[in-house]
Amino acid sequence: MGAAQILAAVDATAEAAGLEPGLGLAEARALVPELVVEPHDPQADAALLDALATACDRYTPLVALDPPDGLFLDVTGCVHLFGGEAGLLADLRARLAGAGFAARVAIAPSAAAAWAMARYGRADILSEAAVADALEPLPVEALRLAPETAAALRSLGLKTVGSLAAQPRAPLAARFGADLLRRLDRAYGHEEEPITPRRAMPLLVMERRLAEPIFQWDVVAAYLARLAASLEERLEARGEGARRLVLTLFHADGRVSGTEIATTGPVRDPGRIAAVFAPKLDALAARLTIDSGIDLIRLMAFETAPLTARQGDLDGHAEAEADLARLIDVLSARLGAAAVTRLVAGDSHIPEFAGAALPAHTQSQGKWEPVSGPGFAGQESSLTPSSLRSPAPGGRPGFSAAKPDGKPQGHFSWLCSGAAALDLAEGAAPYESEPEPPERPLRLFPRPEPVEAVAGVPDGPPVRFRWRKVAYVVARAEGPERIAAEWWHGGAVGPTRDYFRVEDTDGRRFWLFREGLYERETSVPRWYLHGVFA
Amino acid sequence: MASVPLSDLRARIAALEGRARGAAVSTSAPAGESAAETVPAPGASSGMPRFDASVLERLYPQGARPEGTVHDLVCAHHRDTGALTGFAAALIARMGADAGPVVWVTDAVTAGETGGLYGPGLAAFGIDPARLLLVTAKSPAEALWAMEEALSVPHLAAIVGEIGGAPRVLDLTATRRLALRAERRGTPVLLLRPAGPDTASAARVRLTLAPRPSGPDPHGLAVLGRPGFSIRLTRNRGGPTGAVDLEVRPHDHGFVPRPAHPLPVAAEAGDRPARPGAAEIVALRTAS
Repeated sequence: MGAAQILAAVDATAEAAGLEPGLGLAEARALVPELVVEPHDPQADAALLDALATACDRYTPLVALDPPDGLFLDVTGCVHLFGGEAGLLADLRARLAGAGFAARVAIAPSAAAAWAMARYGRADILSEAAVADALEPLPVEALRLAPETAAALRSLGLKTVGSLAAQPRAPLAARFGADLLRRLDRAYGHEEEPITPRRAMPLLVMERRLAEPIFQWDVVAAYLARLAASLEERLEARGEGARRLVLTLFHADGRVSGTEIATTGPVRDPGRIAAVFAPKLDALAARLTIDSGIDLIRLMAFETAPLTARQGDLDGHAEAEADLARLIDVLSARLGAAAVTRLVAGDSHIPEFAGAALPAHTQSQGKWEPVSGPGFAGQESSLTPSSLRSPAPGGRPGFSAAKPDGKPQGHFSWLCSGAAALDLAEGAAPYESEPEPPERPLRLFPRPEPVEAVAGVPDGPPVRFRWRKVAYVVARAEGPERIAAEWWHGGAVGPTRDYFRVEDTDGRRFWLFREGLYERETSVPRWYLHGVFA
Repeated sequence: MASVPLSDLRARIAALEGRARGAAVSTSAPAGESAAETVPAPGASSGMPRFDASVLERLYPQGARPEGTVHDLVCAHHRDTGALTGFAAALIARMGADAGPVVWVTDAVTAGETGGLYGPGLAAFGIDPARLLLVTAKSPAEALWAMEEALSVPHLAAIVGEIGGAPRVLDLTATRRLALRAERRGTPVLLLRPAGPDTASAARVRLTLAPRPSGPDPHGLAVLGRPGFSIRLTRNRGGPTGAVDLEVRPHDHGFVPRPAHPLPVAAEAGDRPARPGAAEIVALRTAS
């Protein structure tokens, strides 16, 4: 059996010759020697069905797949756009035929009735009143039953939907289960049958059908602006702004293209929406031709958020925020969300994780709240005394920075805001000395850059080093600041790093570290340059 | 001898540009609060004051935005970008926390040469990193576009654009476009040009920066001092130009002139505001 080849599908000519799906290939060849066969490719069929579904998006946003060869379109409330049900059917048929598909189409009050009519019935448009009459003569298979259920019904003499519907329900349910009754009820429209649309349902849809297809991108942009203007009215009525918008362009040749934008804050100003879409449209225009013309433009809002009418703001702060959000949207649309970022404090004392640049449009402007790690927190506390009063919540488990070398102790309070409170309580006078220069670099390489360095003593700072083919002689150095891996997070524990701030003979300042504790973790320590100071 | 007609010419240009003679050096609009700390330009009577750190103090006042125009900040090598970044950060910090958001555009070359801006480091420098919007541009042209877009937004404290090397797109026309928009908007544009050439630019102000080694430590330790810079102001329309070495005080971002000859008492000067009198005593090195 496993090796037996059978027919998966047949075309109209083959059907006329007496072939049908399920027939063995050898048998079929015996019946029709000139048979042309192609290997069955279910994936390609599924992809084709999906493409057809996309093309049908032009009729309704609610298109559901009915594999392997069917589609459901919920056209409730859409038919008037095509001059009624007949107009919609004619348009759909013409397009499918134009694309080379043989299709059977039916419109009925319920999905199950439409399915039955399309596959077994004759009428193509059923009104509510005509459903019962139309279903009656159809075979029971029209109810989308499992083949064994249909066979069992036939063996009982119940061959048509009508004869089945006339039976008392209780014995039917006892014999065939509740599913059979549910299918019957759905076909007759007694029970709602939800279809599962392949795309999320947009919250708002604005579309423009064009009797004459358009061929120019600037005309597309002009129509987009008009759609955005009508969208504004609807959004205003809801007191909302859009956060995610999808623009879909339906080409006359059946192709569908589109693009989408996500905004930092809710928007409804048509000018702003058009501005954010503009670079996206440019990108589309660069890779897409619209030779066949575009005959339907649709703008959909998938996410909205409350947006109150802008109120007069004395200091203009809210306005500034909105302006900045607009800039973020425009920049992100053209450069990509990853290229427009904001710095966010990370909960780690490993330098590369202590500050991250995250896409700006995913976050609103917040406050920089560094964890109370060593180094920079102290410097900041000199500027914002509040951080002295309130060290970051929780503190750090296993504070793992040490400063073994000789610094005046008064400075230590500036290294850690947690310790600063202690020092002040003991009467130390850290205010007398000027704050040190920053202990964290202004710029950091995401990956530390390997350098060749020579240290005077194994544990000491580098004396000279070579970075990117240029030799530097160290004139001054401070350190080490020991930063150990965060062993409490588990997983692979990297070697300990000893960081040095060094200044070369020309006054350039770098942040170098030696990886691995000498003689304990490694015998050949490696040096890296991690950042650049002012 | 030749400086007399030159200063006359400068004064006439200043007059043509609608500036008062005395205010020729004060290019910043809100002179009120910052003027209290700085003294009137010495030698204002001659029309051309001499150059010292106070000129920079007036160009970049504390608690206010500098002039809305293009400020070229150039350094000779990519490896000096740290100094460039630090001085730009100091200028931003001097504007104060309420000056507004900062858009910082970096082109791919600079990001690759010197890494990205680092939040903890900025915080240590006195800038709330949350104020910054970082933009990474793939090309100099894209960076220019992003800067122009940012210039359409009001209420920004500053726009920083880092464009390394000497890309062809960054020509006189491009800088003039930027300058026009910056002046219309009133937003200062700090154009950071690591390994930048001395080519034509429409910038009103041009500073060439180099790192400055730390001065001697008062305790005699070989530790790092305050961030130091060697600055040459090569263009300052309507104001004096010259060179000065200075340090930036970390806590208030004050400019502290650095003596050319290290003296043991030099470190004490950091606790006092930079007075022109003091500047004369410590004999600023003035390059040509």
